[in-house]
Amino acid sequence: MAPEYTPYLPVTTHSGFEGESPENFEQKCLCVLVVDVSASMAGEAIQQLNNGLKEFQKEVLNDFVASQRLEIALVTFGNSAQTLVQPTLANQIEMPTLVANGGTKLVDGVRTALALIEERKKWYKETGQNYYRPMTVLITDGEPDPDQDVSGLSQEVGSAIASKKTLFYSLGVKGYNHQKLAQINATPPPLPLDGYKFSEFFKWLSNSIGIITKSKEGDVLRLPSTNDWTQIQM
Amino acid sequence: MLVGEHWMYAYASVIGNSHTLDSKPCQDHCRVEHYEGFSIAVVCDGAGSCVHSDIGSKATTELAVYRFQEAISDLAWDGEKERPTLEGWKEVAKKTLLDVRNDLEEFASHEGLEFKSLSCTVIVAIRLMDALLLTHIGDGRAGYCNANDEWFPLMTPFRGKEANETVFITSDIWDAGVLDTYLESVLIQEEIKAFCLLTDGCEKASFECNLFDSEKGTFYDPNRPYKEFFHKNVTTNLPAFWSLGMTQMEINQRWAEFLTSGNARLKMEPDDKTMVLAVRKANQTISLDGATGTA
Repeated sequence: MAPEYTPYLPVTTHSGFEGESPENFEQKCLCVLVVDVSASMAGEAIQQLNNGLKEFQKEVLNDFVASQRLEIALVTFGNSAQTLVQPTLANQIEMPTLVANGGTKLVDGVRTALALIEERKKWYKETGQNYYRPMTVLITDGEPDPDQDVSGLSQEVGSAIASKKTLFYSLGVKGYNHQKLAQINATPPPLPLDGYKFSEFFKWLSNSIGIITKSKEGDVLRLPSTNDWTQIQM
Repeated sequence: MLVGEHWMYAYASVIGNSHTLDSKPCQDHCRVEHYEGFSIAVVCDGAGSCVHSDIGSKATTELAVYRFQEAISDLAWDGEKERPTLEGWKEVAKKTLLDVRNDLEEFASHEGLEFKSLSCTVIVAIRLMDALLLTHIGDGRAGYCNANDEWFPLMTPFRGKEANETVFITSDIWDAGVLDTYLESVLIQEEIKAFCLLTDGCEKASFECNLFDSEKGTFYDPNRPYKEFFHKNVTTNLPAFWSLGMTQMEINQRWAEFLTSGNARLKMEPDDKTMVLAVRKANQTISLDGATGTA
């Protein structure tokens, strides 16, 4: 399917120079949200997470450049890992309402995300598209089920970060196991969510992505303060 | 401006939206200088990751103007005694850019700055009487318009695997075995009406560089200057300002305003933007033997 080109709104200036611009598409930036929907997320946590996801989409759409560059994917993990939203530009996503139940197949969820990233990068390359380094955001309130290979995943994530395959951030929701989450990625360390401030977190994520999608390779990024949603200052 | 200069210019560097929000300085820089028989235009784009790249792009611009003025003055490429060849120009460009790189290293040492903190791309164009020379390291774009009003690219930007990855004058590219991968030099000897040099902050507004081929289902970069962006500025606007007697500074101020918000794409661009536009004056034609005539 041919991608849809979103035209820029016209402006007028009085410089005396004038010129039309061509319909160039933007380079892509993929953000994969890997979200815990285990039974422990039931109640206020999942409700606030659903609200936050919808606000995240709205915030991205408010930033014209980011909305043209950012592709969002959503992977959930409960009893199994599922890709609920394939990589899609924010204005074309129908954000699902998540329901919490089952176990915490966290490792399967992250592995699904890493595979999705590789698949999407392959597609970017095959279709001649430039892309920014993809970003994985893990959100969990618990610890992985006992059958989950955390140390194996830790190596995979470490290797993916070192080889610049993805940026990796993790967010701990009330009751999460910090030590276990830090075992998966210690740098940057997992950040605990203050209460259920998902809306504030996603607003921060949207603003951060706005900065990332306007950056150049190797830029030292000054991301917004995390004070609004975490108990720890970055 | 030299009396008898047959070209008019508009050039400016303006800060991008994201740098304004971040309170960063403009990391682009450009300069145009005229000499007897030739002019030099330089455009540099400082690396966002490097703390002093704004200083680096300014210093590189100044050093490139100085070094290329020296190099071209020493040659007799005026179209009367001798004409440049592509091979000859490639050698001059390599040697002179290496001189610029070494000068920049000396500057860094003198100022107590880390050399790589000054990283920037560089594009240099030399307008001779009957030829246009271009050399560059890194990304950005350049193009020219021939006598038939057709626009063509003058260079291919160097791109890495990820978006906006490139190389800089400070990069480890100077080994003779790999230098040709990173340093491109071009010689144009057909009659030209206009040319442009720009940093990548201007490319989406003025070049076709990421189009979709619906038959193949792929995106591609034709690297094609967009005529609708340049045409009126080349044929009407810049000549009008010139004939009204505006100073170069007044023209550049208007050009800066245009690059800042002249159309919606320029206005939304987060990156710093620099463009040099050079237009041959309408009543001047230069034949390929270098003689000046009146149309």
